[in-house]
This record gives sequence, C-alpha cells and structure tokens, in this order.
Amino acid sequence: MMKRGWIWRVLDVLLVCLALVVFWQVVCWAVGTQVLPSPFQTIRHTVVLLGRARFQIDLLATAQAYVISLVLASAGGILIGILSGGWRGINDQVEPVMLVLIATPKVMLYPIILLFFGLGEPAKVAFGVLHGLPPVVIMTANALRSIRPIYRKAALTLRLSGRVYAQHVLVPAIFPELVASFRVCFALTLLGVLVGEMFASSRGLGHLLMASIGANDQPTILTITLILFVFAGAGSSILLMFSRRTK
Amino acid sequence: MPARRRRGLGVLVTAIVALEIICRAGLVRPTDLVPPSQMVVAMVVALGDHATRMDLLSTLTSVALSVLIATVLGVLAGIVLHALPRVRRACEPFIASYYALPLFALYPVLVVIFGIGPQPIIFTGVMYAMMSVVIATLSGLDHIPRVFYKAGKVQRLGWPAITMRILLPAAATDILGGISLAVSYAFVAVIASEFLLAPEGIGRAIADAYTTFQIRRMYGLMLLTILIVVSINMALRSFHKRLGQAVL
Repeated sequence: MMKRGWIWRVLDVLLVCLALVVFWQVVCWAVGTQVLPSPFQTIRHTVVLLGRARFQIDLLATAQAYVISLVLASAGGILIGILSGGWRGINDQVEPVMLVLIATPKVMLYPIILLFFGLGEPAKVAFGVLHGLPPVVIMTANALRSIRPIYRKAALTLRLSGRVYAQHVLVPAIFPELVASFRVCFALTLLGVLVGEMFASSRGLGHLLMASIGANDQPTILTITLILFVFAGAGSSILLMFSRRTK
Repeated sequence: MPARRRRGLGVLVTAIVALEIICRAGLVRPTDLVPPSQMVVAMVVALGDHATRMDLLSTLTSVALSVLIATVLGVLAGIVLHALPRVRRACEPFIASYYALPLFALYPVLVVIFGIGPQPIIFTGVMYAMMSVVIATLSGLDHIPRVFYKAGKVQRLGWPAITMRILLPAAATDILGGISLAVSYAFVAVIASEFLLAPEGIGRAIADAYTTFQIRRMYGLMLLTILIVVSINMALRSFHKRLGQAVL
C-alpha cells in the first residue's frame, strides 16, 4: 500500500516536470529558438558539451571548489555556531555580523574578494563560504539554545562526563537542525561558488556561463542552467528526505 | 542602554578604530582597502551626486516592484497550493531546491526577450523573491486552527470571503516574515542583475567604480547599499516581531 502511494508521488513529481518542459517549449515557440533554445535542443547540446574535454575541466573545477567550500562552510559554521550557542558573550558579537551578512547582497562584495584573494580558486571558495557559513552558524546556535533544560538536568543526575553528554545527549538533540542547516548550506554554497566563478575566476561553470553571456551563446547558457537545476534539485530532494527522517 | 547592547556597540567601535589604524599605518595597500572614515566621506560625496541618486532610485524602484509583484503572486500561489494538497506534495522537491538554483543565470535570456531595461531585472527579482512568500503563506495557512474554517462556514461565508477575512489575516504574521525575506532576495537578484548587464542601478555603479579604479567611491557605494539593506531588514524584522506579539 505504502509502495503504491510512493509510486503515485513519483508520478506526480514527473507530471510537474512534464508541465515545466511543456511550459518551456511553449515559451520557446513564442519567442523563437534563437532567443530560447527548445528543451530537445538543450538536451542535445548538453550531451555534446559533456563529451568535450574543456567542458569537463570546467565541470571538475566547479565540483572541486564546491566540495572545498561546502566542507569549510559547514564545519566552520558548526564550530562558530557551537561557540555562539554555548556562550552568550560570543553570540552577542557573532549573531549581528551573521545577520548582516545574510541580508547583504554578497555579489556586491566581489571587488573586495578579488582584491584580497586574487583571480582563481581561493576567491570562489571564499564566495562559497561567505554564502554558506552564516545560516549554519545561526541554525546551530539556535539549536543549541533551544535544547530542553531537562536534558542537561538528566545528564547531571546521571553524572555523565562531558564527552558522554556530548555524544549521547547533545549531538542527537541537535542532529535534525544540523541536517537542516547542511541542506541550506548545500544550496547557498553552490550559489556562492557560481557567483565567485562568474566574477572572480578564469575556470569553472560560472566562468563559462559569463563567457557564454558575452558571446550570446544561448544553448550553452541553458545547458549550464539545466545541469545546475538538476544537480541542485536532486541534491536538495535527497537531503530533504534525510532531514524528514531525522525528525 | 542595556549592557549587552553597550558591549556590542563597544566591539563594533573598536573594530572600526582598528581598521582605521591598520589602513592609516599603511599595513594594507590603499588600492585594496580604504579607512572607514574615507568610506563615509565617499558615501556622502556619492549621495551628493545626481547620477548616483538616480542609480539608487532605480535600484530601490526595481526592488519595490519585485517585492510587490512577488507578494501578490506568492500569496496567490500559496493559497492555491494549500487548497490542492496533491499538487503541493508534487511541487515540494522544487520548492525545497528552489534557492539552490542560480536563477540570475537566466537573466541574459530575459535581456534578449525583454531588452535592456528594468523589465528583465524586475522579472529576476520576482523569481527570486516569490518563493519565500509562497513558503511563508503555506506555513501560515498550515498553522490556522480548524475552528477558524468552521467559524467561517457557520457565518455562511464563501471561500473568497473566508480567504480574505479569516485566512489571510490569521496568516499575516508568517506572510510578513516571508515578505521580509523576499526584500533580501529581491535586493540580491536586482543588484546581481545590475552587475551582469544593466544601463543603471547601484550594482552597475559599484561595478563601474571598480573597473575604473575608483576604489574610494566603490567602498562608499558598498557602505551605502549595506546600510540601506540592513536598515530595511531591521525595520521589517522589528515590525514582524511586534505584529507577532500583537497577534499572540
């Protein structure tokens, strides 16, 4: 019974995908294939591009920068979040900075990042971390602060050591929020790395996107967008499923 | 002033003074970073410039229109998705992954369709801002107790009246939270679009200042933008908080 429900759900999602493709095709007919290549043309161009060595190098450069940024943003975010959630004095200084960073359009800061990191890998990693880190800090600190006091009291009653308390009480209590913050970080870091590549790099999908904008190469623009849409959509959906299971 | 706020202000002032000393002592190149005092002067000078004020007006108009359109469309989409649970479930993976997508990558395509001007910028702003309103509307409608619907039916109200007079006011706090996020997203989209390709706007002005090596002006414009965005955000956050307290 449950399996049938799951199949219906997948079919519903596929129907939404189909509706989006039909909408894309209709817009394509309305504005012309020179302006907006059709879904079929885009998929064909994707296959061609994926076979090209230059495109594979760009794809690899983005993947590499993304993995480094994701590790730095999530690990750094959790560390600062723990410090911020555990000590009020640190939180008073850290939280306003993180809230300002979240609200600021970070793309505007690219000249500063370029000036300090130069053109290349460090700049795009910095952009990725700048986008992904603040929400992890805020969510981790909030998770720590909202732990029910009874957990701490129970740990004290049972005379648990600091390590055992962290391992068996603290981490399981904040784990769902950590997974949720990783999901947000996954999405925002990808955006940050791409923005970094668009403005502060000479390699990667973002740089190729910028070059395609300059050359008015619509098929490549849509191919890169499609690849990113599929990757971000699939990744976020898997993390969403995992996030729901941990609750 | 509470002690916590005084301490926070103290740290901020110390950081600004330290930055001023570092820059004045020549520890960083003036082409990389200018002292905060010069940033403030550059900001005031930029504000005195008519062209910059027009750029600022253009950006703020684009953001305001984006938020307005995104609010109307987002609330409507939220109501429709809430009324159709099966469609909502099918759309959930797209809603969850929406903000991972670099939507402004589509901006050049929009420029070809609409031409260079405010339309593609506003369109990108709406795309970015709308989903936070949809999510907030859904969340707000989910939290409404069943008795509100029953009260509407007892009063023999039709669905439009129930939506306008009961559901939307009851979900107003959540929707406002979504709108304050939408403002941030609209700023991001509008300024990113202006950076990419636009005839005017504060993003364009910052990019121009950078490419023409007017580093002081660049920092002044950045400071101005950050101050505006953070002030709007804080005002909305405080209004949201007060509205939440009033409802509770």
